[in-house]
Amino acid sequence: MKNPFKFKKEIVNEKLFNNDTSLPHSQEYPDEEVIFSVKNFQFYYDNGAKHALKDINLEIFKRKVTAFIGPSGCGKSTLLRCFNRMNDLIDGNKKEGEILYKGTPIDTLNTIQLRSKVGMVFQQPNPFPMSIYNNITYGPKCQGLRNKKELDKIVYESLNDVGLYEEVKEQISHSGTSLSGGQQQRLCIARCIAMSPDIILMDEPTSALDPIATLKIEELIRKLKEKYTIVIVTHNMQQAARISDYTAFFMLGELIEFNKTEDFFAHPKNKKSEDYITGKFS
Amino acid sequence: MENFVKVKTKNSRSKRKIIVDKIVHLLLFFLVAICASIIIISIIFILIKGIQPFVDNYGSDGKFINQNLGSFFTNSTWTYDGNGGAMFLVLTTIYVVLLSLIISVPTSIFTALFIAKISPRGIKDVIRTAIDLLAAIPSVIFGLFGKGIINPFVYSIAEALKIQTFAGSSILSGALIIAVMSIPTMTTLSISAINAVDQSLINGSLALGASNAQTNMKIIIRSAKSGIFAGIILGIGRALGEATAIQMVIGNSTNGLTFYNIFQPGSTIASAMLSGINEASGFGYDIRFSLGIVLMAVIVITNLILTAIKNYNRDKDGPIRKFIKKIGGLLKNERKESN
Amino acid sequence: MKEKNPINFTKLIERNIKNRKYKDGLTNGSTFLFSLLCVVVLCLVIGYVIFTGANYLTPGFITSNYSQSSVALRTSKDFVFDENGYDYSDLERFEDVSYSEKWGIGLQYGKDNNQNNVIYVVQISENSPFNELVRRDDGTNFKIPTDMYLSYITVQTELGTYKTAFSDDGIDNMISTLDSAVSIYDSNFLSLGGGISTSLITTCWLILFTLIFSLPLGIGGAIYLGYYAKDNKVTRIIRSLVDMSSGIPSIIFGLVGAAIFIPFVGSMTGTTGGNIFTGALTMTLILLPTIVKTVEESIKTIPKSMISASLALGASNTETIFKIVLPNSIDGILNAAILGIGRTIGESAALVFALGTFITAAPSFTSGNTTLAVHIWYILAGEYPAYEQACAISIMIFCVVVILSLLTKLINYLFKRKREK
Repeated sequence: MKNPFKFKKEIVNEKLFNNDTSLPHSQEYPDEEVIFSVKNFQFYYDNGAKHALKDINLEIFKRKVTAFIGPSGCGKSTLLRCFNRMNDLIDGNKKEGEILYKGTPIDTLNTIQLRSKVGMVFQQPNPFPMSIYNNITYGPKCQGLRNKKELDKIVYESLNDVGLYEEVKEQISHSGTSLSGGQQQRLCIARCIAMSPDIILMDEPTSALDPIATLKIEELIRKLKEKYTIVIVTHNMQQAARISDYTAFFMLGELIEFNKTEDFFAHPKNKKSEDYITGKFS
Repeated sequence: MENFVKVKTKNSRSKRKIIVDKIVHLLLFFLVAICASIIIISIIFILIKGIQPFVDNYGSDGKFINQNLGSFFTNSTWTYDGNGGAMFLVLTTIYVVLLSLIISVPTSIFTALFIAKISPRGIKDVIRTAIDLLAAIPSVIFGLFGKGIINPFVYSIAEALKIQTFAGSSILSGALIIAVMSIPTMTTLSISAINAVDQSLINGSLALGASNAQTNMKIIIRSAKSGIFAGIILGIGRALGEATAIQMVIGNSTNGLTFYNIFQPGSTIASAMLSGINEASGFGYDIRFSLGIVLMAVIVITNLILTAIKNYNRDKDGPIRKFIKKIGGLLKNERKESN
Repeated sequence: MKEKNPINFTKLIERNIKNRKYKDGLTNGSTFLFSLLCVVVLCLVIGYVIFTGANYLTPGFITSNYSQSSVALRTSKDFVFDENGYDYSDLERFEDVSYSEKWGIGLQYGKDNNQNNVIYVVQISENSPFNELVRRDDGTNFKIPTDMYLSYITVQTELGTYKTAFSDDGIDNMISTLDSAVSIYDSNFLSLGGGISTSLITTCWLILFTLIFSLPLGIGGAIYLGYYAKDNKVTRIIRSLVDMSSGIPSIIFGLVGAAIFIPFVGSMTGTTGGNIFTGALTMTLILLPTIVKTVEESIKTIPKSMISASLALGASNTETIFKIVLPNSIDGILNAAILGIGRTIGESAALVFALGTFITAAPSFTSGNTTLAVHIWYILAGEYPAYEQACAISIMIFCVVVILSLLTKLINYLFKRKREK
């Protein structure tokens, strides 16, 4: 149970804010810089009763789109939520092994710092019941940014980046919930970008949207990877094939295969991956 | 449901069953009709009895006494000689309730937030039980508490500030006791409103790097505001009609508005209805029904206004917003024309 | 994509994390303080009531009447004190009782309802002249009641003078006065006044009649709404009317009771003014919406399949209601009854109008009475508010309220467990 009067000692790691810090290169893919590395990671729900992630070893590469695919209940969303420690909110969670963010174990980091660097977009668009402007400035304001000019700049740039500015510039003071589903999701992405994160985690961002809105989001993801590292959980194999550079295939809490997307879909190394791709089970 | 029993059968027992069924159905409808008609009958009877003091002659020995309608709305003293004015009672009632909201609204919202989102389980149960018990205490015991504790407390404050009071019986005491009494209602409804806030919004806020406290204050309260407001409306309704407790602490002064000084005794509509009831008869008794009409009117109007305010924020194209836009448009046009 | 110049959050976040501890502590702490305020207020209310009233909550207080009755006794006019003395050997001796050897009586201190010391005659010898005291007004023999205390006694001494001893002067003075006496000229016995027995009994009767009137009506209405009613305009109107009447303050219902039920019951039974029936009918008005809602909610939790099964087996609607719906909504009915009892005990404003504020010597169905809550209101309304007695009654009401809320929890717990099985 969370205790409101107990504060965990958390450190701020200044190194992490420095975008110029050189990152180690991956051994397997020497071209890529590793931003997240997951080492022998285990995760349990219900005080250990449910083993959700089994011995995961994985690397997330800088400014690449990594897609997590797999049948439902395979643990892909759980792993995603571990990256920004959203799973800490669930009672009775237990983890072993470690996740390193730029070489630092995330459990030693302050959650504010971590989450402001690792943004997240959810399955259901969840704009706050406030104006579009306030939706975007929510994160910066929470960090104590009060300068009106800077806030305006952030709102403009974030909306522009997600291609929403032209659509909503007239109704910037209207409620965020009055937008359409696709616009809401892009607003959520803009809200995320406003914090200028390193990584954007996306938890099935298009599963609640219609095909056209989905297409726009996919376009946006392709655009965003020039600047951000993106990890996307998706149900949709075609989507993974379309937008991702690397693909990780999960099954029953285990990482079955991790490979470049073209290689993964063209020549799956594992029998299970092949079965999944060819639709023998889903 | 009825299709099952409508199967035709020659069995006389089944026929009897159907007849009994119909009788029971009618009887139950009759009972529910009684339950529903209570409010209508009540209003009709209070209207009849409440208009009487304005019409009938209550004087004896050739004297003519009845309530003067004009002074009922304008006079600022409440008397039983036919010239009493109820308007100041209305204003005092609203004033006392507004004062009480200053205490009860923040207390209820923060308590609800603490119970629903912050508190560890053990403390949560304690406070929850305390709120439930507070709701179960009858108003006469609150009145006793007010007379025994709050009045001396207000008196000592006034002493310290060198303000005269009537042994602490004052509008402030009334507001305090009303605040205490409306906290349970408001808190209970706020808790359910806060619990109904979508978890995805909370997750969204936390994922943006907001702390728990920031999420509570900025997201949860904002999202739950319509439910919280419903609780406040209910609490205000209760507070307006509260009689016993407030009559025991407010001092029941019937002369004039004492808004400038909350340490002065005053009188609300309900307290005026209750005070002096032991000795009342004839005109002095019947005029209380007229006050009953006024009380009902105040409660209904307050509820309508508050509900309209609540809906104003929710409905983008609600009637009130349209109305205000219309007026705004007219004003703009006028300005253009005059220019 | 244009590379934007990212705003440097480093410093901001760094500062924020430092401040966060204090800011979050402040906000969380303030919510805690506000919650604490609620608990403190509750503790203040309970503490005040208990500390002020606990000493006054005695069996005498509960069983005695509000009005004090008195009786004046004397020895009969032809009484002559036997100089040879009387045989008081039958008198058992106790340490804490003082005895008058001359008259053969034992006196002991007791408390009246204001917690003052008063003197009771606790023992009388069989041969004592005190057995032959007569009433001063009509000269009939009167046995000294054990529930009345001796407020004063006036005696004639051997010298022929009169001497008076008061209860306040103490037992020793009383006994020395008695020992100097040859006859009792006047003695005044008082019952304990200021008690609540009538109000207590009236409250019980009121609860009984309120439940008798309101439960059948409320349950009937709830069955109609929960079982028969289709979702149409009439049902919606009925529902909203019932909802609306739960928002009306009780004092308005008091007026309604005074305007409708007092004349109505008066024309039926010839009474004038409020009595238990008018009070119970008024409470019925107040309780009906709550009862209807509570019972209806519990009817709605009955699985539809159960009702359909009953109907499919050939049971009529009536049989289904009595065999399936009512037995399965018994928890709602019990909760409604408990709510009703709680409201009836606590209600004051409405009953001031519909029942009256007269604290009478004996409970009566035909004349004005009062309940415990109105009793509190009444004794506090005067020039000299009797806080202690009011608090003593409040303790009783509070205990009942707590017991009732525990009962509700117990019922809900038991039925929830039963359902889960």
